Amino acid sequence: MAKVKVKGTVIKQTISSVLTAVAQIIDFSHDGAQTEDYDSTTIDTSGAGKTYSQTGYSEGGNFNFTAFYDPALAGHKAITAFIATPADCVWNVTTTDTAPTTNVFTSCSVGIGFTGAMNDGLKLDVKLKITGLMTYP
Amino acid sequence: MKIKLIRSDLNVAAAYVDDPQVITDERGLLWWPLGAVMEVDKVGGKLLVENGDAEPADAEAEEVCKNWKVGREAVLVSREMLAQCIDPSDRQKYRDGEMDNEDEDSDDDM
Repeated sequence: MAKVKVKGTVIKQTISSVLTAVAQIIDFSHDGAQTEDYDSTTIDTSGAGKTYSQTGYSEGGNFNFTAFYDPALAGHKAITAFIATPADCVWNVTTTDTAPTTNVFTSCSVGIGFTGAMNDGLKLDVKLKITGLMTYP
Repeated sequence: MKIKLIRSDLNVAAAYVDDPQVITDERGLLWWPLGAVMEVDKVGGKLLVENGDAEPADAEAEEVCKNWKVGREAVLVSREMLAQCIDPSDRQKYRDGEMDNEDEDSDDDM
């Protein structure tokens, strides 16, 4: 059992033949992975509780991150380019556990935004919709 | 066009897993060796050169990546800082040689 540091986590994107690290990320999150269910309640279900069952499918969810945005940086250009040229992209997230563990997923769509504030650096917000499922250890 | 990889911390894209240069580590992860040369698309190849991951390896790549040597030292320093997880707020200190390569948090109790 261990508490795993976030510092040193590497998020890589596919560019052509390689997976290379995305620069200047300051936070990231994965959400929305969810098994799908359906309401299986019938009129002869015993008791008051409604019942649910699995459909056999699962949502892969999203992977989001924020980075200090450098519009001239090739790696950031590769991400924003998905807006004009949508395409699947394979990503790796390697955490700092002793293994270390690498989670792999494929994004099918990309959401981009950037924010600026007087007392902060320019930031890029990226939202990746996962197609299929992320691999979990 | 062809590029030559100048880093050894690059994993292998799915379309290239059968390339004979590919190395598999003990965890089953696939890596490109330093100096691997490969045929790539122009857009991706140019991005990899500009990102400090690769250099042009044929005349076509040199043409696509015109002026790739301009500001190259800064690109490579930035790429190395990324590999070493240098915090953006510490980058000037790194450029000024005021940081060593040790993990400053290595003695943290977790």
